[in-house]
Parts: sequence; C-alpha cells; structure tokens
Amino acid sequence: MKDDFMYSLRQEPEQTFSASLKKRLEESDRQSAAMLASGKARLRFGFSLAMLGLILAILFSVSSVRAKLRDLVIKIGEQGVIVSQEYPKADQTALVKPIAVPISQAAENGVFLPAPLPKVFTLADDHYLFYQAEGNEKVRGDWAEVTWIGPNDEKITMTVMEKEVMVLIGSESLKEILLKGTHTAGLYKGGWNTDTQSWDESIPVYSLVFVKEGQSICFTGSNSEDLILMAELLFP
Amino acid sequence: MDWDEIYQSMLPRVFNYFLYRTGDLNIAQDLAGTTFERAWSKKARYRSDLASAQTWMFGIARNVFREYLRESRKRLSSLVPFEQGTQHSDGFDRDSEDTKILLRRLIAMLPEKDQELVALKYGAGLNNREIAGFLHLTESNVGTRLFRTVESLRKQMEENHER
Repeated sequence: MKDDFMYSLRQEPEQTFSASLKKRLEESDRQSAAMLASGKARLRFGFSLAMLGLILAILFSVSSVRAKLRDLVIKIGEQGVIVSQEYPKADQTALVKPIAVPISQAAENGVFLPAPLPKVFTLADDHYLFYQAEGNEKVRGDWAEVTWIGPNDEKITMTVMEKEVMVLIGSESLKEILLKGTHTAGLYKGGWNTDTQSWDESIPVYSLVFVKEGQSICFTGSNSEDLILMAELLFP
Repeated sequence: MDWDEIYQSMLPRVFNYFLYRTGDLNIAQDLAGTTFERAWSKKARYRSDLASAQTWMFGIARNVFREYLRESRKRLSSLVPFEQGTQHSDGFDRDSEDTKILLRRLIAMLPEKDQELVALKYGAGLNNREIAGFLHLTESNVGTRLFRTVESLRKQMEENHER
C-alpha cells in the first residue's frame, strides 16, 4: 500500500512545549513525593470534608419538593439532581446512626459491588454501613455505603440509595458522561463546606451519580477516572 | 521503569495522535500535556505486567480526546488552522502546504472510526495489531479498513491535483 503521503502531517512537538511540559512533570513528581512524605494529610482532610458534604447532601436529598424556585432541577438519565446556591439548613438535618453489616450479605440486601475489583483496590472493611431512615421525616429512604482503599491510601466510597432520591449540590459544573458508552451518569467536583456554609469546588473530591436498576448510586473519591472505572464494573 | 525514556519516546507519538485528530498544533500540544500530566499522576498505579507503557499511554490519550470532544462539542471538520500556511512567507513551500491542508480536510471528513484509525496508524505510529486491540476489531479488519481509507484519500488527492 502506497501510504507515504499519509505521514506528511507528522511534526515534532515544539521544543519549548516539550521542555516546559517536562518541567511541569518533574515538579509534579516532586510534589507527589512531598505529599507522600507528609502522610497525605491534605488529601485526607479534603476527603473527610467532602464526605461530610456528601452526607449532608444525602440527608437533604429528600425529593423534588425540596427544590426551591431558585434551584435548578436537572435530570441526568434517571438521576435527579438539584443545583442550589443555598447551603442546607441545620434545622433540616437528621442524624442517622449506621448499622455495620457483613459485606458477605451485601448482595442479598441489594448492594451489588463492582466486580472484578481492580487488584489495586481493597475493601476498607469487611462490613458495609447501612443507614436506616425509616420513621424519620427529614430524610427519605435508606442507604448503604461501601468503602475501598486505593494504592495511595485514597478512598472510594459507593453509596446506594433509592432511585427517587435527588442529590443536592451547589455546583453548576455537573457534567453528563456515559458509562460503557451507554449508561448516563453525572460527574461533579467539590462538596458542601461546613466552615464557609457554601459549596466548595476546590475540595479535591469527585462524585459520580447515576441510576441502575431502580437504585441511585454515587461513587466519591479523589480521582474521577477511578470512579468511572469502578462504576463501569457494575455494567457487565 | 525509565519514565524519562517513556517521556522521550512517547511525547512525539502522543502529540502526533492529537495532531491527526484535531488538526490544530496548539490543541494537540494542550491535549498531549494533559495526557502526560494525567499519566504522571498515576505512575504509581501503572502495572507493566498488565499493559505496555504504550498501551497505557494511548489508553489515557484516547480518554483525554473523548473528554475534549465532549467538552468542546466542536466538529473537527470545522477546524482549519493550517489555512494560515497558505499565506506567503520566506522559503514557503506552497505546494507541499496545500497538499497537507487538503489531506487534513479529507481526513476530517472521514467517519469517526476511520479518523481514529488514521490517527493511531499515522499519528501515533501503532501497528495494525495494536490498533485492533484498541478498537475491538480484528487485525485483518484494521488492515482492510485502512487500505480502503488510504486508497480513497489518495484518489481524492489525485483528483484534486488534476483540477
């Protein structure tokens, strides 16, 4: 096949670009090494802050009735999302104490885990947490949480809720993506910051939400690609 | 792993993959930069027993390109940055540049899968077997499809030159 002409568009990257990228990568290596040395304290703090935000979001994610006139209600596939500029009010919160359930009972309780799990991720615990909201007027439905630990000690949490639950976020940076090219999901960054009482997109945590077989599923973690990887394992 | 060696050998290939896909030098550099930064942030997780560095890098590059398409919502055929090359300057090889512009336009008009084939073959420098792995095609399927695509491009180039 005479295809020499097809190579005619090839170029060498500009030297200034190549040198500047190399410098950025070397700097990134140095920062990673420094972060590892400091025990990843910053990441852990960010994650715990965002997890608090996520828990609040779930507690406030009651139904579309929660949406106010100023709020934006978005449907990502079957998943409802309320985008609000208003920090959830404290008098609407409810504390729900979780029950630890053996992970071996997850499937029979309707909590299906991603499989086969990438070897670099391990379950954080041999139990998952079950939050029973029955009888509590302020929250809707029950939910379960499963947590995995990644190779750099980062956490990925999967929350399984009722399909009708709407996720409450304060970010308009919600993106629609496709899992396995067919299943619609919403991806966003940040969480509710309890200190500033506002949505904080600088919190280095991503959330991926979607509905699968009547359940609303949310993965949270510091790396959006890992969340997508885990979520796609739910779609064989 | 010799990451310096990976950087040196993969940068031109990743950059050219994006150049063939977008036709824009600056966008190709941006996307190549994003690919390497993402790969470097995951170096600790890379497992050479599961995939070669090349497969790993192009897996990331293809994800970066999909995200770019999603976010920009641009049609590649609308990008004609190399038009700038038609303006005269010292030592400018007009015929050669015109040919490149035409080829770039013709590639941009190919179906999406064929654009990807061309970018992986002629931009990234992958062989048919490696491309087959990425696109979930058989090796012979890749060969046949590439042959038809290249022949069609050549014919169109020749027809255009005859005018």
